[in-house]
Amino acid sequence: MRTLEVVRAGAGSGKTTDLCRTVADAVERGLDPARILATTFTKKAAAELKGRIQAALLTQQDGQAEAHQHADRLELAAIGTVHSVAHQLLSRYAIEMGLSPRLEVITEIVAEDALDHLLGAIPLDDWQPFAECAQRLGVDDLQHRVLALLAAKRGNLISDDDFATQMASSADRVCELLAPDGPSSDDASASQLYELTDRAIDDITALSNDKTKITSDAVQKLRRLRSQRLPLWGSYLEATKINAGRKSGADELLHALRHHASSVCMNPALHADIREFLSRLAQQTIRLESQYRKYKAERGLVDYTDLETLLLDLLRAESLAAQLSEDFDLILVDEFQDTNPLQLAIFESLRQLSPRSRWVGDPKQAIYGFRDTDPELVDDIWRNSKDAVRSDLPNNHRSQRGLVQLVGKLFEPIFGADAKQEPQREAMPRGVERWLFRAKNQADDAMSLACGIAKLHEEGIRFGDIAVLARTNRQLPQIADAFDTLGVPYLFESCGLLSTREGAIVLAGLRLVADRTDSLAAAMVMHLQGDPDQDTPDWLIERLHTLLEDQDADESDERRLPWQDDSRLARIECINQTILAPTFVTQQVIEALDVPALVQKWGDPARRCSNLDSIMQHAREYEELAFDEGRAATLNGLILYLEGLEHDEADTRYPPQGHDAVTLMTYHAAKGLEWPVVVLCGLHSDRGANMWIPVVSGGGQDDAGPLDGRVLRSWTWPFGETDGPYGGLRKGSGLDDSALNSPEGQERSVRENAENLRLLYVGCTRAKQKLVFAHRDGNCPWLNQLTNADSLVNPALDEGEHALEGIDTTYVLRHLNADMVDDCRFAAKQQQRWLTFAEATTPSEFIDRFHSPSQSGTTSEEAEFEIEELPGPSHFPTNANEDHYAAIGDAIHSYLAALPSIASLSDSEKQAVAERCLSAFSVSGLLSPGILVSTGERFFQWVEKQYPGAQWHVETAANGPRAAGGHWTGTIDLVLQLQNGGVVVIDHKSAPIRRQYCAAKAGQFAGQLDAYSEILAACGETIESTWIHFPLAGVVARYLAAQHE
Amino acid sequence: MLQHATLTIRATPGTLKPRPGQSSVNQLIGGPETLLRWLETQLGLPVASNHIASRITEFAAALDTLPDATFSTSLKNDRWETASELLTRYDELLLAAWDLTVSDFLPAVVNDLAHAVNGRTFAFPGIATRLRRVLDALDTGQVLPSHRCLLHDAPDRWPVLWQKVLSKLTVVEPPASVPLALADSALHVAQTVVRGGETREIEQDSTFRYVHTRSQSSAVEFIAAVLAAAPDSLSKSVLCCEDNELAMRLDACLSRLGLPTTGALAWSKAHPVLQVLPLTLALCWEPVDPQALLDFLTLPVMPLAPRAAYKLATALSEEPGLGSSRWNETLEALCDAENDPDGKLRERLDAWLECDRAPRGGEISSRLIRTRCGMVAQWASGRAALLANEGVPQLEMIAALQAAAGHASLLGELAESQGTTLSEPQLARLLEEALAEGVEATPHNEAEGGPIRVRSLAEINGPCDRLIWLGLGTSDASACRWSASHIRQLREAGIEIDDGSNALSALRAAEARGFSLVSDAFLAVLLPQDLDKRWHPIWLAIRGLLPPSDLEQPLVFEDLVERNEGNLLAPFTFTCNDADIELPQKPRPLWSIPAGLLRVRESVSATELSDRLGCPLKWTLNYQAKLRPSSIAELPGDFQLKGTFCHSVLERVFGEGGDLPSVDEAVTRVATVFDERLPLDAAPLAQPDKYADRQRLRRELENATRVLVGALNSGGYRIVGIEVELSGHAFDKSLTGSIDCLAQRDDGEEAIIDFKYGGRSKYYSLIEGGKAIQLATYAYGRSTDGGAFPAIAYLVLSDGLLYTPSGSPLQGDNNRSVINGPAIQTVWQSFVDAIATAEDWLTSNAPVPARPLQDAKDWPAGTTIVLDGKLRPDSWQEVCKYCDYKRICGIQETL
Repeated sequence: MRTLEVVRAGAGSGKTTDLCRTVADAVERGLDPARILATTFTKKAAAELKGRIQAALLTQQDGQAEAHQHADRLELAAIGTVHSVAHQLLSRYAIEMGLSPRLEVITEIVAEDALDHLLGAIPLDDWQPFAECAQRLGVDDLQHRVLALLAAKRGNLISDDDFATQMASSADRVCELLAPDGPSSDDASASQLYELTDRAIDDITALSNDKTKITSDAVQKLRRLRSQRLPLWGSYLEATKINAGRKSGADELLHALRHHASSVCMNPALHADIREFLSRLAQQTIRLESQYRKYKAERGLVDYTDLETLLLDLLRAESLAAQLSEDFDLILVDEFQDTNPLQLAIFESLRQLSPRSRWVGDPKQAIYGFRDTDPELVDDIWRNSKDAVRSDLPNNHRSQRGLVQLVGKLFEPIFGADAKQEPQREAMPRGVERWLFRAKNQADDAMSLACGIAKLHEEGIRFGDIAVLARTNRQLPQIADAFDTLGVPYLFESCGLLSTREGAIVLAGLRLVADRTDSLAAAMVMHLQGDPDQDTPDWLIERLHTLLEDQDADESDERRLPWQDDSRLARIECINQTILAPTFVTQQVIEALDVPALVQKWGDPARRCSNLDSIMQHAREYEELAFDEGRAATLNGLILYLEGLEHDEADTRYPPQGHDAVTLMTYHAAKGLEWPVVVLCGLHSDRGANMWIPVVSGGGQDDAGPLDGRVLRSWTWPFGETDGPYGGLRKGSGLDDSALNSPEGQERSVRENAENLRLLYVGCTRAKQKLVFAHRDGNCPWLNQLTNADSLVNPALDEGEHALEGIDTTYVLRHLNADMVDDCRFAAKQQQRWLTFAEATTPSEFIDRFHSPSQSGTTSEEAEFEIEELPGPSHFPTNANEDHYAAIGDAIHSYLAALPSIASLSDSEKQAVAERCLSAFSVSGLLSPGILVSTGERFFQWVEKQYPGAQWHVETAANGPRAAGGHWTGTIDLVLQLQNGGVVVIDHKSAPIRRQYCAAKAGQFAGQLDAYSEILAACGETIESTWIHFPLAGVVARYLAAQHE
Repeated sequence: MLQHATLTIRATPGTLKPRPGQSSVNQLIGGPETLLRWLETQLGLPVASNHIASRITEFAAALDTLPDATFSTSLKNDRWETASELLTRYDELLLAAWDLTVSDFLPAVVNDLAHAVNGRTFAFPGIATRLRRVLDALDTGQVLPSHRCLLHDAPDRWPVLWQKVLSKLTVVEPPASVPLALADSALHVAQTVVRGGETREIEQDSTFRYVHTRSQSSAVEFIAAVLAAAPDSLSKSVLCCEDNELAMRLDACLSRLGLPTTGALAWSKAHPVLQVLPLTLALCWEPVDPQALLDFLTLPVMPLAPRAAYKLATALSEEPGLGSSRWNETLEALCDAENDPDGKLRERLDAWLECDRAPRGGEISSRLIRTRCGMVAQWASGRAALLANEGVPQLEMIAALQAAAGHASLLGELAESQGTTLSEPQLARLLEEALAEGVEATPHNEAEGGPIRVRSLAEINGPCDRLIWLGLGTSDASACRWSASHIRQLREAGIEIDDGSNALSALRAAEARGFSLVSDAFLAVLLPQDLDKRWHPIWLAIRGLLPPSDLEQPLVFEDLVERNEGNLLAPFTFTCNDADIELPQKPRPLWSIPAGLLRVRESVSATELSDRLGCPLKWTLNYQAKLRPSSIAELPGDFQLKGTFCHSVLERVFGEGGDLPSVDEAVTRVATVFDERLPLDAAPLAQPDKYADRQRLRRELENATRVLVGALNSGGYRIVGIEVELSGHAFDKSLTGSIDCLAQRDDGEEAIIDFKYGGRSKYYSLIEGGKAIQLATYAYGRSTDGGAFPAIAYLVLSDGLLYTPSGSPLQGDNNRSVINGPAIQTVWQSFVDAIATAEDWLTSNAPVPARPLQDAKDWPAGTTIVLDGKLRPDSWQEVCKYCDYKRICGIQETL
């Protein structure tokens, strides 16, 4: 019996709590926690889910040992994002699947780089006609297009043949929209437009009677057209818009050109270009996919899509089904509504393998249609799953009563009864606000918004309790600028790290470590540390003086280092880049320039410390990227990388949560988060459907799998875009309208509209206490898609607080404008509190904590040793050189250590032990086992004779305080415990040495023996004597100095 | 009386350091490896250390013998990783006392392993083999000394083979772990709860504090402040920090504050010494990647003489390619008879930079790789030996070099063991394996009297007063490599494989024991990144007993500082003060610099004149204060590279001057030179992934050549020279610079053509607006010899456009190239006039202006020839665009 539970869980309804309870109940009924598979949307959510389930398990049986065992077992469960779970499963089954078990997951950046390289290697004979065709169509992001299509193809498992067919259909459809009756039969060449343009220029410039601006502009436009800076087909549209002076007859001279251009939609060459382009696009995409596959296979790499595809392969492998079905007894899927088609197929397959699956999600919050998901497909599968047990989580534990009621009413016309939740929190007044801006531009909008935030703060709301949500990332910097003007603190993941003082000084410090002659970096350090109130910084005058002195002294400029011997750079000079990885150099630079202390006088140390974290993170990312791409990671490389980030505006300041600052982010990024107060802006946004990006739809019909029947539509806009940062589709062809009015366009519009409303729902449900709708007065088409918005929160009311009928909170209306700035500005802090440290005078030198007796390094010339020769000859390993001595020594030591254990063995058995000691260190040919046995025997006998009845302790661990500071830690070769309670210490020295030199040699180890004595004495042992034993020489040397002590 | 050996052993792997301040003899504490080593030592069963790679190589050879096994496809796809994975499984099976029996009831992969290894003896033993040897030694009559083995984890929690060994030992149950904190204290409750003891709410007190920080940096400062505030507790404090890098940051901070450090260390593959091997091998592929070559030449530690490497790097950054003109000139100069009389330098450079190379995408000889690895190993060990003999040996560098030598030798062996040839990805994999461990870096020593740093609570092996736990999140536990079904099948066959449960339980128990050794106070510090990880299970257990208010509104270090409430964390106190906030450096439109500090220069260039007019401050910082960025060797960017290369091709083709060839002939010659020189002078474009780029560039240059030759031909010009030195004087100084293309007609009239790779809009506007001052300066320079002003033009190479003012005798493609703009004489005169009225600051003590920061109305008349008076707010003046001093003058804000 395989159970599927489908749970609809609205915002704040306690999804995670439900999942935890589900697990806890199941475990109580005997489920092994290790046999849970749970997927969530993000790593963070996965970590939280795991933690909460573990916590729930720990509370079972009052936290007794069994509960801990369950919690431990849960650590073995597969809980994570779909990708991490896939990786875990694939690693387990890689060998059965014939895969490399390596499964090294490459990041999106590395994958894109690899694809870029592969694209760059495409033969020009193929690429050039493709690129030329694209140029005519105004497509200037070919690589991006190929990659987007590749992602769509792979993400929906579309076969090569289907892909090519669907691309061809797309081309046909665009042509059909361009010219429903088909292209004209004229065989006009593409160059005709330019010929007509040339003629028009010549004709108009020949007119001597027209000096009007309109005609002069027309000539400029014609020249621009002729310069071929515009795409060919876009030029046609531009040509139709050129007008010149009528009076002089100049305009008439443009007729032929305009006439030719106006029939562009029916131009057969345009139609041919569209077909050729999409056909070549399909070819290149298919080719790239195959090359990319090979590239990854050679390197044992997988990307995120591979993880999903391979997991699906695994789950569908009949030979492994039985095995897999034993791995998991409970499958949990969180945020089901954000599942992409591949993942959907995965969950369907998992469902077939496991006795119980529970899919939890909220269709009202499906907002990733622009990425890989298809909400319709998900909803269809979810709603129509056979034999599913369906339930709801009806409560809202997040928002105050009034807000839950308000959101329910606002969205009831859209979502029906599903929009309504049962509030669980108390009602609070002033739960909804509407801010109406009197503004003429976006900068004023942002400033009005900032004033509204300031007013909330004045009313007692912490900055940290407020989030401002914008429609797109592009809107956020402007809001941030307005906040800066007012002094409103905010958290915003933005670039500009290296524009902060800490960022700039660390970068300058890195440059100085890399090259101390870098005078600009040195000047930058001086500048940032200097007094900002000076009219002209001292450092510049210092520098000019120094150079003048050098010149006067007839010295070359290079001779003196910039700011040589300056204490401000002294610690930087101590950083040794030859022994430190770039990240470690960065750490050292931060400290050497005292940046953690400077942050106090620079103000806002908490945020600046976060910036230091960001610098470190970029440094780590650099190293990782370098290794991922098979490059070297060097300090110079890091510097160039950081400069590149700054140039590309990618020097991100990662903001940690928790600062008392307003959070700025997009609606999409706010998914899954909550704040006491949420301000929704960007409500003027009224996005239409974009018909010119690839879309995959369909599938999952009539019991078919979610990936069966998926169809790609990739329409190409053939006229290019207008210039500028906000450039849009070049107008004048009517094609965009035709596309939007087509059945596909209608369907797309409905989808986009629905997604927009879901996004608005996500925004509205982030607030716990107060929700603010902020927009320019009369300009909120997005909000107006909620048909009852104005009736519920009426913008026409007077400013102030109003009751809301049937809703347990009040409504506040405010009018805001940018003129309020002066009243709302927060005074900048004059002083900053931060940690104080006692001034470190000079860098302290601390002694090492641990010291090894064998490296005590003492060579006591005064140490006296008494030599005793053991019977038998001295031995010198044959053919051994200095390289072998260490290995011979190891072999001898291991045999001597084993002496007590082999005392009762026969000679042949001892020989065997000796042989294995020698062979372990590959010195069998240099020393015979017999020699080892005989040296062992004579030593053993000597001990027996010298210290009869002594107990042997070989390789004895010894630790103790060191009189000169620190702590000894080492191993004594042999300690003999005498019957009288005293101990004897013996250290073996295996060097092949003549007997007459043993006394002198032993002197080198007196320090080591002293150390052993010190340790043993500290342990309360009485040291009878200490010895050096030279086994090969056959000598024991008694240390007399120890005796004196 | 010396005690018998006491072995305190837990199932969790890892060695433990001795407790400072305590004396002990004959006492060992640690995990399975510690016990095994002791057994082997006592029984004379030494094991020489070997790299896991050697075992994998040996094992892979065994797997190769079974061509149709379950693992064969996987082995074929990735021999190394598959062998590595199967070796781990094989070891696990042996530890579970698997005897290589084949059975229908066992998983197929297990049977295949048995078939593959049956009858083989491996030179490099695994744990199971070593344990078997111990058992064999004991069976043959060897005896262990008297000992006690205090086993923290019951024998049945150990793998079966271990259990057999443990049964031969004198195993004693260790004393129960007792929480050392004061009874009823919050810490005591926490110590009790972590392994299933009493559960009651933890009310924070002076023994238990929990605080958040908002950044790692502030956490480090905070911990250092806490440690500094209690110097007497320093050596009795334990710092638990899983993150090596963070611990190193704390050490760096402690060092700054003059406090003893913990000796935190980390292993890094990015150690400078380790870069030599991969970069040496990168030079074995054809065409040589100039970036790899540049990286090699700029390493701070490397086998070539620094001076020679620096010069070669400089040559490479100017003309990127092994064998470019600049490269060859530099090489010849370095190795001439004077600088390299015995030819040793040349020999060394050749040895390292020249070798047989394999084409990219092909296979390379394993022997060659071995040879190159041998060179690196020899260099590294030789260098280490040299350093060791120095007066004050650089121990860390020596260790790194020795490690690098080891890595190189290992890679050489691995490469040869894989067959006669290797592909580039295969070599990369082996390299990754060889370098996997990285090199240890310990910037600060483990100092006597400093806090003890542990990576895990399990490493606490003795009582301590205070514990600071920095970072309460942890990464996920390793997943089991066996499927549940396999484990079941094995169990049914009597082979018990741990799915990870025993290992985890042992670890948690060890951590709980470590935690219970804290006597006085515990500080838990949550870092921002902990929120992205799962809670450490020990912390999770504690956390569950904190009151909800402590979790929902935890103390935050930064807030405590702000509110002066540090006492809430007592006894983990710290001191704070207030300081005035300093504003950022302001934009300074005027700088007071005495004129006496500005030296008189002897020559002048067009760029200098332009800068001096546009921004006197920039000129002062550049030409007077000589503030220059270091010449960090960097390959030219794509745009610059293409421009420089196109210039050099045109110079090679037309540099000699003379009569113009026909357009077709010129194009053919340009194409030939392009193909010859590209791999040498513009090697980045010769890389395989730049195929399309270089072909495109070739076409662009061919096209531009057509335009150039066509225009010159139609104007009746012949080329005098390319890169012609500028002569003449202006403003009482000699003019410097070089003219890209100087052409002349039979009547002596000259033309100057400046080549630009791109920027057609910009150069169009310069001609149109009468602002082409570079060309004007050149033209003036040519005219000072008594001639007339020459014709001028920009040739925009990427677009094949020749921009020239209307009326010019040079003709491009008419409508696209001829621009309505003033004559060049007029431009020069305007430029001269502007300079004449704008330079009082140079000779008087008038402030030096940073004109882009000034209001346009304050600019002297005529300066708009270089400055835009109607600049858009988000744009830079031309003089600012590539200026290095934007943060110094303040036009670029530093927050």
